[in-house]
Amino acid sequence: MSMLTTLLEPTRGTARVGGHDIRREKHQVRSLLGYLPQDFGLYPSLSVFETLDYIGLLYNIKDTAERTRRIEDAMARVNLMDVRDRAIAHLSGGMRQRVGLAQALLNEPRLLIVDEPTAGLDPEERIRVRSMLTELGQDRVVILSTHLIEDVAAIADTVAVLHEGRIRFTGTPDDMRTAVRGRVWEVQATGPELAAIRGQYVETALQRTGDHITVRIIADQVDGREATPVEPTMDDAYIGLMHAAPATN
Amino acid sequence: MTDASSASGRAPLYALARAEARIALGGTAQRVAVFAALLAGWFLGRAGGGGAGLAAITTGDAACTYLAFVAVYFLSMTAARDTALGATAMVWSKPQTTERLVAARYVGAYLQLLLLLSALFFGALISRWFHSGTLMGATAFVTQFGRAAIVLFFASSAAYALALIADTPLAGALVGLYWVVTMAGQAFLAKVYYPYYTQNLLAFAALGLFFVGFAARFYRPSRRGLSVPALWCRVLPPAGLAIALWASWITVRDGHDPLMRESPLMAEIARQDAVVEGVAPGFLLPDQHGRLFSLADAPGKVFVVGLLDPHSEEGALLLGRMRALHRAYGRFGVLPVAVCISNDTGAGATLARGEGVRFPVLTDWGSHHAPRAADASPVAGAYRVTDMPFVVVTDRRRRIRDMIEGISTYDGPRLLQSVLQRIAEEPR
Repeated sequence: MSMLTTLLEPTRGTARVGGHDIRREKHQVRSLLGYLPQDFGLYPSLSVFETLDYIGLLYNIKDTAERTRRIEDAMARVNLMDVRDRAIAHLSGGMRQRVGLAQALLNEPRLLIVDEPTAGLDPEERIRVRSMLTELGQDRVVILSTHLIEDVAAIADTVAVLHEGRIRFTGTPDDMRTAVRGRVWEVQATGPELAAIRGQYVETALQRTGDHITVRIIADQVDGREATPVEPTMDDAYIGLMHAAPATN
Repeated sequence: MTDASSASGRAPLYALARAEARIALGGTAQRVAVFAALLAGWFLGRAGGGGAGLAAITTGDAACTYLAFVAVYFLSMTAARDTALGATAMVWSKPQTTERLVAARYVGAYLQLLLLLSALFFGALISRWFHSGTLMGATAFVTQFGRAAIVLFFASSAAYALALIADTPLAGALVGLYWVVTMAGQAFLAKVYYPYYTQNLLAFAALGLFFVGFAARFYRPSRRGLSVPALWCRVLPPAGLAIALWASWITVRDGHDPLMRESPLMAEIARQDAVVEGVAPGFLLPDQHGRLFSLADAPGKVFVVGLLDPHSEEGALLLGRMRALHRAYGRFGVLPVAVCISNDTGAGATLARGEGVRFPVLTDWGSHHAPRAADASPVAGAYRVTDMPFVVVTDRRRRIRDMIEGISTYDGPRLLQSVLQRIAEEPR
C-alpha cells in the first residue's frame, strides 16, 4: 500500500495506477488517489474544517469556494458536520478516523486506499465506518487492507490474501468460502480431548458451553469422532488458506 | 480514471503558508510565548538614554541572542512535526510538490517567529513610551527589528534545513550550539562568523536562502519520481552560497580584524598617540548616514570627541550630553563627534537615530573582540583609552586640551567647564 501511494520506493518491479507508473509519475498517481493510512496523526490545534482545508490545499484545490464545497461534501458523507469547528484534540478515536476518511475523499478520488480503517474502533463506530466504505465503493475502487475478516465479508467484492508478501488467494468472498466448503466441521469435545484435536486438525474457533466444548475445525474428513459439517465463515476460509498449499507470486 | 484536482491548478504558496502558520498559531504554547515576548520587551524597553536608541539596540541584541534559540528550537520541531505527530503518510501522499511543502512550512513557521519578534519590540516600544513619556527616536526600533528579522531568518532556516534533511530535531540543535560558540568564543572567533553583526547581515541572509533552497531541493529527492524540481529551488542553493561567500569575502577584505585580516589604514590609525597639547589623532570613519568623516573635514571647530560603547547606558548618556552641548554651543563652533566602539557596525547609527542627534556619530569599523577598549579599537588605541566613555576636547587647531574618562564625561560639570573654557579662550 505504501508503494501504491508512492510513499515507499519498490526495491524492484513497478505498478501502474490509472495508467501512471508509481515510480516515475508519482505526482500523477498522488492526484488520482485518496489514502487513509493505518496510523495517522492530525494537527491537534486545528478544527475539523481547518484540517480538511489544509489537506485541500495539499490536493492543490486552489479555489476557496470549490475547496469549501468539497470539504462540506466530504464532511456530510462521513457525518462530521456537527463537529466541523471542534478542535481535533477534542475528537474521539472514531471521529478522528472519520476525519481521516474525509481527507481522503477531498480530491474525489476514483481510487481510495484505506489501511486498517476499523482498527481500534468500538463496535458501533466500526459498523459505521464499514457502511461508509460500502457506500463509497459504489462509484469508485476501494482497496481495503484489514486483519478483521468480518470487515472483508461486509464490504469487499474481491479479496486478495497476502501472506509474507505473496498472494495466497484472489477472488470474491464467496469464492474464498467455497475453497473450504465441505471441509469445515464442528466437533464436541471435553477438556482432555482438546489437545488431541488440536494436534490432529486445524482449529478455526472454539466455544465453551458449560462442560462441553464445541471446536470448529478444518479437515477433509474426521476420524473416530462425531462431527457435523457446517457452512464456512470467512474466518474458516482465511485460516484454511493460511494452512493450504504454497503461495503463488 | 481522471485527475480530479489537477484542473484546479496549484494552491498558492501564501495560502499554504497561512495554513501552516495556523497549525501552531492556535496553540497554547504560541500564546504563552507571545505573552512572554511582550513581557521581555517591556523590561528591555526600560533601557536608559534620552531617546529610544539604547532600548532599540538592547531589544535587537536580545532578539538576536535569545530569540534565536527559540527559533532554533521551534524550527527544528517544525521540521520533525509530521514524524512526531504521525502525519507523514497522510501529508506526503498528497500531490503537493516537495519544494512547495518544504517552503510553505518554513514560511509559516517564520511568520510565527516574526509574530514573537513583533511582540518583543511592541512591548519594548510601549515600555519606552510609558517610562520616558516620549517616543523620540522610535524609528531606531525599525532598524533593529530588521536586523533581528534577518538574524532569525538565518538561525531558523539553518535549523529547519538540518533537522529536515537529517530527520531529527537534534541536527537543528547544531545551530544552537553554533550560537553558544559565538557567545563564548570571542577570544578566538573572528567577527565575520557572527550572524548578528550588521556588517554580516547580507552574508547570513544569503546563507539563510541557501538553507531554505537546500532543504527544498534535497529533502526526500526520491519522492519526485521523474518530476523536475522547481527552478527556484535549483537556483537558490548555489546562488545563496555564492552571495554569502562573496559578501563574507568583501567584509573581511574591507574590514579590520586581527583574527582574520588587519587593515593597513586601521593599523596606521592605531599607531597614533594622543597627548595633551598634541594634535588629536586623525581618523576617517563612516557617520550614521554612511558618509566618511574626518576631523580635517571641519576646520576651525572646537571638537568634543566622545568614544563610547553604543550598547551601554553610559554611552547613551554621553551621547545625550553631547547633543545638549551641540544645541547650546554649536553656534559658537563647538562640534561634538561621537565614535562608537562596537563590533556591530550598525549600532552607532541606531543609537544616533534613537537619540535624534545631528552631529557626526561615527563607527570605528576596526573594532574587534578584545577585553580592553584600547585593544578593541584602533581609534581607542590611538587615544589611549583606559575607561569608557572617553572624551577629548580640542582647540580650534585640533590640539588636545582636555581628556576626560568615565562618569565625568556625562555627569558633573567638568565637560561643560572644559568646553566653556575653549569658547572663552578662542571666540570665533
